[in-house]
Amino acid sequence: MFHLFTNRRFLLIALVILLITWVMFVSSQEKTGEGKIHYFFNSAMIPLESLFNSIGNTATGSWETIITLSTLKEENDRLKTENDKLKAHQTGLDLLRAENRRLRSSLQYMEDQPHVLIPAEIISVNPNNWNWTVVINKGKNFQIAKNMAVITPRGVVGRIGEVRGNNADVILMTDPRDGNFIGGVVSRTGNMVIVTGGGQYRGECSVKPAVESYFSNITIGDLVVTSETSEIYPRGIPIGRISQITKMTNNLVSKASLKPAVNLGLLQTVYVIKEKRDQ
Amino acid sequence: MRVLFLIIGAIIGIALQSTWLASLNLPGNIVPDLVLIMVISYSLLRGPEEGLFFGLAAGLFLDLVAGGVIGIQTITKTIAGFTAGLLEKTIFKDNLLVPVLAVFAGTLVFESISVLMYLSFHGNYNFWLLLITAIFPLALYNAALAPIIYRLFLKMERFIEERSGNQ
Repeated sequence: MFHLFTNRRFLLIALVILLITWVMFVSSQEKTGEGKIHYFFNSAMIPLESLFNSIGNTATGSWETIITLSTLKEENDRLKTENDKLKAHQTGLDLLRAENRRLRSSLQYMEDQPHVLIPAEIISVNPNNWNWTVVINKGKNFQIAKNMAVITPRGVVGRIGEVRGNNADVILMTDPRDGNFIGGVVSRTGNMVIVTGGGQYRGECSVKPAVESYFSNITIGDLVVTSETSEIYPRGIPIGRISQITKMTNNLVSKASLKPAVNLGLLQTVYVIKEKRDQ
Repeated sequence: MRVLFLIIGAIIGIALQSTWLASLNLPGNIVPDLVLIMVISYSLLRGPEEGLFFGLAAGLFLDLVAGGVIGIQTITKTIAGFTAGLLEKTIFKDNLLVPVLAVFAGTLVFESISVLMYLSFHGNYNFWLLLITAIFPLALYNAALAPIIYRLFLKMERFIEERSGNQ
């Protein structure tokens, strides 16, 4: 066994493992800014991810159009040439129509809100399955800063993480990292709660009472909204609904699970709150 | 030339994983881990040493792009590459069932190790529920994609061998 310590290859592997372990502990500490190496790699990947994203959106639209038109095969046999031209034209029109609907509803939402909002599109999702973050197409150049709240008309999405010139990371509310929580209140009872990313099931959050060690009155289906005590989020924005409750041995509820109000898997357009104006 | 193919493959794999595959919205809210599939497939063809280095490089690249705690994907992909490479001399490389089984088992083991490591850094995970609702479906998705990725690597190896044989 002692011969291992004289083996150069073994020593090299042990040194590499020690180095990686040191890097893990260093990178897990709370940082004020993004590391230069992470900034470089993330910025380098963004153009390629944007390209793949736009190709994917075009392919999805084209495929749906092809499925619809295939039911008209008998009539299309007679008018084959004209239908080929209409198919190409239809794809373009459908994409424009969908985008027009989306932009109209986005503009209406921004006008209805008292806060100053910056709309942004999702470019890509974190390739690591155990981190819940997405990348948006706006960054420092659009006055976006770290820890700004991110919402949609349906509710809370998360907060801004690292920010670069033309893009930024959004830490979703379901990300299970240490310190990812939102101050909330149960709409029906007024109980103050803390909603933490991660929990029983993937894509859900944990809910704990903010003051006491148990809930005095909570049921499945209760709506939780952001509270006045939240530093980042304006009050009254839906966070989600209680999906599960965990009872202690004395039948009191100590912990609950929450399903987000926003379908985080189908995000396309989000809004960053640049300036919060509570009414 | 092999290094160039691997670099391009890793970059395209991560880009595809974070765009097209994520937009599929597969049941379980899980995205297939193309990097793990590539590491295991390459290691089955080239052995433990090359598998270890490819796992180290691909895992480190994934960590640097994904952010958060850097080193977890590096370590798990390195170990996955080394372990899968140990099978290189005992398998029939043209049999596509081998990478399917290796990727399925490898996903269960190494993604579990990843989650346990994130737990040690105070992540809010329920490991046993994640194993059933996320890691097991992920293993199935990875196993479904494994023959495609493995065939690509096999073609790459044969292409490189032919070129080096012709020179």
